[in-house]
Amino acid sequence: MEIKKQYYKRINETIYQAEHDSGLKIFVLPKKDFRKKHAYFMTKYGSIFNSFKNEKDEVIEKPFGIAHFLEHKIFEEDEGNIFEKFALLGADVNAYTKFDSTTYNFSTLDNFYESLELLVNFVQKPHITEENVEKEKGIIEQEIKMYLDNADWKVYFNALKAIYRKNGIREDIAGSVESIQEITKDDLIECYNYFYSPKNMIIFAIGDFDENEVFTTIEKSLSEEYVMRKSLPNVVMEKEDESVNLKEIHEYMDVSQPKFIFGFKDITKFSDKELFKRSFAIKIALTSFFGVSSKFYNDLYEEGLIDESFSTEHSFSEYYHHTIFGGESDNPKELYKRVLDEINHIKKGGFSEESLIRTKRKFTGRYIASFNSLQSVASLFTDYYIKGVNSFEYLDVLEEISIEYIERVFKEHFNTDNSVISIIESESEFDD
Amino acid sequence: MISDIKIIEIDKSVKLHLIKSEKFKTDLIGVYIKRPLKESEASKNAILTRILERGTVNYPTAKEFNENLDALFGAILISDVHKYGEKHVFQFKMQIPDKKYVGAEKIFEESIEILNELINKPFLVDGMFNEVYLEQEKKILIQTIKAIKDDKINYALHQCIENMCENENYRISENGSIEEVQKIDSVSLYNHYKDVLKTSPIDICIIGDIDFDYTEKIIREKLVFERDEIISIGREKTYKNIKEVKYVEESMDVSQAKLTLGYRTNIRYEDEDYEASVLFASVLGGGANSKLFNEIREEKSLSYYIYAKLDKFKSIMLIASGINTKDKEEVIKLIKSNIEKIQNGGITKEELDIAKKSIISSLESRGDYPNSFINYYYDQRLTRKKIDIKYVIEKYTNITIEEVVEASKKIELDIIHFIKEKVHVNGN
Repeated sequence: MEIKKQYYKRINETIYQAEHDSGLKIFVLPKKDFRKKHAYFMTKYGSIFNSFKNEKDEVIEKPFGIAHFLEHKIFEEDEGNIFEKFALLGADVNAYTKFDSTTYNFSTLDNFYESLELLVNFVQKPHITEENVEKEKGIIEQEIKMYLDNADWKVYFNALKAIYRKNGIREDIAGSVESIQEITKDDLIECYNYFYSPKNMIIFAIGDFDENEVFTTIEKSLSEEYVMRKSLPNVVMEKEDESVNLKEIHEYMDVSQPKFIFGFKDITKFSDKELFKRSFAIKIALTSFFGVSSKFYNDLYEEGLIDESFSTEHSFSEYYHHTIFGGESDNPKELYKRVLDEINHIKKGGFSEESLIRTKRKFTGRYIASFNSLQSVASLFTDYYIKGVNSFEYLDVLEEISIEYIERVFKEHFNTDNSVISIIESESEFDD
Repeated sequence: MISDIKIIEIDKSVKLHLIKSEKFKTDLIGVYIKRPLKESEASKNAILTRILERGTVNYPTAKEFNENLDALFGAILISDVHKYGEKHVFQFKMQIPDKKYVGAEKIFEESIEILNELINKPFLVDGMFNEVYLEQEKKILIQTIKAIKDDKINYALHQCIENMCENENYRISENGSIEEVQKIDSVSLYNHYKDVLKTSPIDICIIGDIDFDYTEKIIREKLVFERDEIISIGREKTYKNIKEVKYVEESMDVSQAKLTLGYRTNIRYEDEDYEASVLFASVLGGGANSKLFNEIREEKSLSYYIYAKLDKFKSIMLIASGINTKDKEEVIKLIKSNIEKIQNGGITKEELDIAKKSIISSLESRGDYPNSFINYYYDQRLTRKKIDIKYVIEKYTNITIEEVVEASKKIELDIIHFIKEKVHVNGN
C-alpha cells in the first residue's frame, strides 16, 4: 500500500492515508502523549438503506432495523466471547448504528496492535445462527422500548416522519418491536455480504502509536475472503417530494412540559463539497440569528417562550437534508410562528459583517478545541467522510464563507412552506 | 501526559492548582466552591448559577455577555452546581483555545477577566439581584425539577435514592425542591451569595500548556475573593441500621418497567478495603463483561441495560435495569444470586483481571481529557486521597480475589424500587 502523508499547519496535525488493493481505505492520525488509542472500523451501511439492488439487478427490501440488528450480531463469535477477548487486552469495544453508517470501535491504553487485529478480525467474520438471532430479539425489543419512553427521541423521529414521505430516515434506527420479528438469519447474512465489503468500508485510527505499524497490522489482518468481496452497494432510495409529508404531528406522553421540533426540508441537489460549504453558511446563520448571543434568543428567553434547551441543528447527506429547531416550551405553536416570522425577516437581509467575524471566531475556536478529544476528532472525521468531505479542511472552507453567500444559501434552504412542527405533550395540557 | 503540578495557597482557603500538559490545544479553568448539601441552601445555590449568567456589571445582559465569549474564539463558560455525596459544589468552568492556535496573545488574561466578572461582579439593581430575572429563573428551575420525571432512566435512580435516604441529606437533589425555589427572594439570595463567596473553601484548577508564573500572576491580579471565617463541612454518614428491606412501587405511563436496587456497601473511601469494593461492583455490574450483563442480558435476554454503580462519598451501590414488568421477580432473584455467588468466592481470575483493567484504563485516560482530569483531581482532594494516578493504580493492581469476596460480604440491601407500566383500563 502506498501511504500518503498530509500535514495541516493551522491545527498542527498530520494524517496518513492509504488505499488497500481491495478498496478499503485507511486513515491514521498519530497524537503524541495521549494515553488512550482508538480505532474505528466503519461501513457505509445504516438504518436508511433497507432497500438495494442485488447483483442480478433485483430490488431487495429488508425489514426496518436490520442494519442495527446486524450490528448486534457481528459481535457473535464461533468460539468464546468477543467482549471478553477485548477486555482481557484491556480494551473497551463498542458499536453504533446511524442513518448512513455502522461503526465498530475500541479504545485501549496498551495492546493496541493486538486489539486492532481483533477488531478487524471480528468484523470480517461474524457467526450468525438461527438460535442467536432469535435470542437477540428479546434484547433489541428492550432497547426499542427504552427509546419508546424517551420523549426527546420520539419528538425527533416524529418530526422526521412529518418531513419525509418515503425516506428510510422516517423509521427508528432499531426498527420496531414488530419489524425485528421478521428478521431472519438469511436476511442478516445477505446484508452482511452486500454492505460489509472493503470498497464500502474505512478504518480510522488515532493515538500515540507508530503509523507504519498500524498499516502493517491492518494489512496482515485482512482475510483472503474479505478482500475478495467485490460489491459496491447500490442502494435504492425513492425520490423525495419537495413538499413535506405532514405539516403537524402530535403525540401524548407523560412529560412535564411540551417538547417540540420544527423541521425545514430541502431537496436541492449539490455536490458533496458544495453541500459541506452550504452547511457552514447555514450553521453560521443559525448561530447568529438563533444562538445564545442572538437578539431572538434573548428576547424570547425574557418572554419565557424558550429556555436553554432551545437549539438548532443542520443535517445533510446525499440522501437527506434538513434543519431542525428543538427544545421545550409552554407554547410551541406560538414559538413556531415566531421562528417562521424571524426566518422570513432574515431573508430580507440584515446579516452584519461584525456578526460574521464573531461567529467565525467562535467556530474556529470550537474546532481547535475539539482536537482535545480523540473521539471527537474520530467522529467528526468519519461522519464527514460518509458525506464525501474531509473534516480537516474545516477551517479553509469556513474562511471562504461571505455574507452574500450566507444570504443566498439561507434563502434557498429555508422554505417556510416546507416546514413541520412536531409536539409531544401530556394529555392534560392539551385539554386546556 | 501531565508534566507538572503546582499548588499555591493564594488566599485564606483559596488554593490555586496549576497543571501542565503540553498536548492540549485549550486552557481550562475550573473554580470549585464547596458548600454543604442542605435543604435550606440547595435551591439557592442552584438558582445562583443561573442568575449569574444573566449579566454582569460590564455586560448587563446575557446577550452582551455571550457575544463577548463568542468573540473570544468561542470560549465556553459554564456555571452549575454538582452533588458530591452530601456536599454541594459550585463549578465555574471556562475553556479557551490556547493562544498559539488562534494568534491571540492576551486570550488567557481576557478570559480570567470575564470569569471574574461572572463570579464577583453580578449585575445588580439597588444592591440586589434583578427581580425580573430572578422570577424568570425560578420558573425555569421549577420546570427543570419537574422534568426529572421525563427521563425515566434517571427518574428511577432519583426515586430509589429519595426513598432509600429519606432521613439523610443525600436525598436532596442538585436543584433542591420546588418549595425551596418558591421561597427564594432577591435580598436573601444576594446575602447568601456574599456569604458563599466569603466563607466557602475555594479551589481554582487550571490545566493546559500554561506558564506557571504568568498564570499565577494573572490569577492573583484578576480573580480575587473577599475572605472571612471559613466554614467547615463534615463528612457523610455512611452507616444505616437496616431493620427490613424497603419495597417501593409506583406506576407510570411507560413501555418499559424500571427496577432499581439500593445497597449500603458499609465500606468508606478511607477504608483499606475501599478499592476492593469498587472491584466488586465492577465484577458484578461494571459493563459488558460483568456477571449481571452476561446472565440477565446475554443468556436470558431479559433486558438491554443492567449495571451497578457506586457513590464513593455515601457508600451506596445502585443496581439499575429496564425490564418487562412480568420479569421483575426473576431479575431480582438473578441479581441476588449473582451477589451470593461472589460472596461465596465465585469470582474467576479473568473476571477480576478484566475489572482491574477497566478501572485502571479509565484512571489512566483521565489525563487525556482536561475536564475529566481536573474533576478527578478535585475528587481526590475532597477525599484527601493521593493525586498520583500511579499510586492509585498500584493499589488496585495488588487486590486479590479474597479481598473482593470479603468486601462483597459487607453489603446490605436497603431498598427495592420498581416503576411498573400503568395498566390502561378502557371505558373508564
